[in-house]
Amino acid sequence: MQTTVAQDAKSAIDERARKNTRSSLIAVAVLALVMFAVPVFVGDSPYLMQVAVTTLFFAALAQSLNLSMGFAGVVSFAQAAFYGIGAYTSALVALHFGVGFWGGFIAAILMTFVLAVILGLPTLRLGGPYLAIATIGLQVIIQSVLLRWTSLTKGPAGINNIVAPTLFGMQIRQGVSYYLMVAVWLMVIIVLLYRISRTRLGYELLATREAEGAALAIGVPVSRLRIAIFALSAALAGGTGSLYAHYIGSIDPYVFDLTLSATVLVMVLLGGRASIIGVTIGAAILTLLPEYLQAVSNYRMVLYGAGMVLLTLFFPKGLAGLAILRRSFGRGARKEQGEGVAGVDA
Amino acid sequence: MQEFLQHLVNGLLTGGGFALAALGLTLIFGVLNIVNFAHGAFYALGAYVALSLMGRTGLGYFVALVVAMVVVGAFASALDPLIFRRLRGKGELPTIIASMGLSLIMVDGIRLLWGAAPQYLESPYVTKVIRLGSIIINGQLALVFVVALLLVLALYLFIEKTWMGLQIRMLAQDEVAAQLMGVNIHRTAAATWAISGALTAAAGVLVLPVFALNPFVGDSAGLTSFAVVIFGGVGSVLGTVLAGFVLAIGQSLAEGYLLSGITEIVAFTLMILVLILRPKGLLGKGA
Amino acid sequence: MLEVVNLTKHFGGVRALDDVTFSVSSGEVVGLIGPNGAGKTTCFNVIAGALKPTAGTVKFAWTDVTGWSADRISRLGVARTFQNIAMFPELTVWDNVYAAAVTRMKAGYLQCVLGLPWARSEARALESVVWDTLALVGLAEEADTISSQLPYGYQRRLEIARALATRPRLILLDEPVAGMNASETADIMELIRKLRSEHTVLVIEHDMSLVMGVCDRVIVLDNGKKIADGEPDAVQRDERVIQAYLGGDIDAELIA
Repeated sequence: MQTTVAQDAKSAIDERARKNTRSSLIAVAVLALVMFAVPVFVGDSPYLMQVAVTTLFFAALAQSLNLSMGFAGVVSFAQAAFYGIGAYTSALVALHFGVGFWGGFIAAILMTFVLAVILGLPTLRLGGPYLAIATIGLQVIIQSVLLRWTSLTKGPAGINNIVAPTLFGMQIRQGVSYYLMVAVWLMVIIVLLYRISRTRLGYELLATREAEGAALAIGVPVSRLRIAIFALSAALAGGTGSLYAHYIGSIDPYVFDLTLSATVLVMVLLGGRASIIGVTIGAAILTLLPEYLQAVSNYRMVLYGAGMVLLTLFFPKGLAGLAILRRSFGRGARKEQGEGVAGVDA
Repeated sequence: MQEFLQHLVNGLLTGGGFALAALGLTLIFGVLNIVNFAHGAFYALGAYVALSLMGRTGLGYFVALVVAMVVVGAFASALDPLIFRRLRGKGELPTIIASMGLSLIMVDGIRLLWGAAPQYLESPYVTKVIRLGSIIINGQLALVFVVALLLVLALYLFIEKTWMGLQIRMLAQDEVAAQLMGVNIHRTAAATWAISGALTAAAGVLVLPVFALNPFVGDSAGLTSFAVVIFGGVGSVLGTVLAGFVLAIGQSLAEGYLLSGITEIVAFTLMILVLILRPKGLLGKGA
Repeated sequence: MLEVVNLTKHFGGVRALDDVTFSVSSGEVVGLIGPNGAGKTTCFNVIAGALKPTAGTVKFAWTDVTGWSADRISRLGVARTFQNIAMFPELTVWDNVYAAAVTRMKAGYLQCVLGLPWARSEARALESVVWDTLALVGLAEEADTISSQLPYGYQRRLEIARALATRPRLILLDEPVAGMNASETADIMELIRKLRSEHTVLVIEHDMSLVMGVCDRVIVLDNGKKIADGEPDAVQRDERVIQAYLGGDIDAELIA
């Protein structure tokens, strides 16, 4: 028989859980609405559509990294490398095996997943800064390989004439139709992250982040989870890479560099780790801002750098640290003044 | 055989430059636990400051070297109170991001102040050549080697024999204990930054006459320094120096006999292998 | 249920555990005592998989688990609490326990993510398990409190609740009443008595009232060696045990 205080606690928890779920669903719905409404407004301008698609690509990359960094606590500077591997795998498989985009897409996802598992097994055991440095090493090595293995990747010249995807017999070219395809992919990623955060896997990952020793003691397979999430994160980046390759038509290794990895990482930090909505907004801001700052484009890098420094000094929790976007995980932690658990979703 | 010796000698000489460039990083990483991504920018900055000193004020090469070291060292020491002091104890990710941001500011700052077009740092030794039998030794590289060794020695003496050096060593061991023993953390951190900046700037001034200057010239030096530091063992001066030579010789041989451009792959694979198999590096104080 | 044979653990030159052998039968409540530094927590750490032994074997439920990782041993049915409390500090009491309960779900990660019906109902069923566990340890009213804000005594109870949520067969309690007053201690003793019907318990404690009051058997460690193993009264009067305590820290309650 529960006491009334206990019953109050139970209703508080249940109520908050319901509110959480509701607001998350609303947030995701709003996001979907905005995403799918964009072509309505800018569909006629190829330039704006390109900007929009680029934003989606970045948002997808950022969310994939969010999975690794925010959920599993694995800081990775190698996201651009997996992005590139996905792009190349897809282009090459589609070309050499004649399976078109869809075959390439699946191959890209599988390839990046397997590669990430192999690379992750030895490196994810490292702690703290050494893991980050190791991922930088991976990024540099992978990009160099893409650049130098000319027999496979055609080196600096890159791969051209990558086929456009076909769906129901129609070719999907740049423009609104491709935008919609990428938008669907982004939604898949967001829903996936959201579902993970709400269920068993999310709890176990949270436990791992909070207190690894205690997580092990309750039976969470910490190292296996880390590798699995890292690989999944890479696979999502790989899939995005495939979409990118078939969108842009030709790829070269120079795109997939450390700077791109760092940019994606800053997007995750800006949004606030583990915050799904925050990261999406962060990605959008960082992609769109340079477009609107054309006037000061000469100072772009300096401003960007200054922004990064200020971010770490004053906004370590990113956008998710702001009151509006703050939510909490699971049933919800009660908020104390000014501090809260970095939410898994807004 | 002679080709082999030539590659070996080139590697040995370049090793001095690798070692000197990486020393500053091992100090920052080992003493302050900061993964400094702006490291390469100091390298470039040193060269550009020397360039201006020699161009504007007509100073000689060696005087410019010393002044550049002082200027960049002072600049670096200001970074601690401005940025890194506030991030102490907050884990490695904030310092990584902050130093990346700093790198952008510095590199693009160089571009804005000096322009992006290639420029040339003049040194009296660049065109000189010493012949040992049939082995050719580039004068500038020989200079790098000699000065690097001198600076390493100076650093070693400083760390082992001076009061500040002792404080640095204590801070490297354990920040809390050092504080309890009366070490002034802020001043020691600033001093560490100053030394790091000065050494790295020196490396830039010494090595870059061989190449053309552009604002991004520090990027690869920065990355390579990471490989050197990890390989040699974070925080170990001797380890870094050794690693610098080993990697430089390895690179020289690899470029000579295998494909050129494979260096990055080799250096970073080595780095990762070291991280996985022997995180202490050659002589480090441990992961 | 638990068999520890020739267990040895060296840390450099220090012999934390030296050839320790004992066993715990199903349904027993066994106390593990000894002066500070005797190696009790090290013993737990090795049994639970947090440390690997230098030599010796650990068998749990007739399975050799020597050298297994902590999470693997946990999944086999061993739960433990920590001497210096390892909760998930930013989570509520409820989330702490739920996180533990969730690790024993039959539904896999993917099934949960996909929202399959049996996964959803299992997740919902777990909620009542969590509430029951909280009620058992007396924390139901604090379910919504952030665990780092709990008073110390409650934090220890949370540790126990979390251990219970993993449905273990063997529970290792590391100083469950450290720092508690007499009435709190009595509550925990009551709790342990409730547990014995379905669990086997191994308790590290300095508090002799708990050890005498609740344990069927007591094992004494000193300097890494086992020096006594038997019923509480017998052990209390054992010469070597008294010597060990007098020679090191004096625990007044033991002599009384």
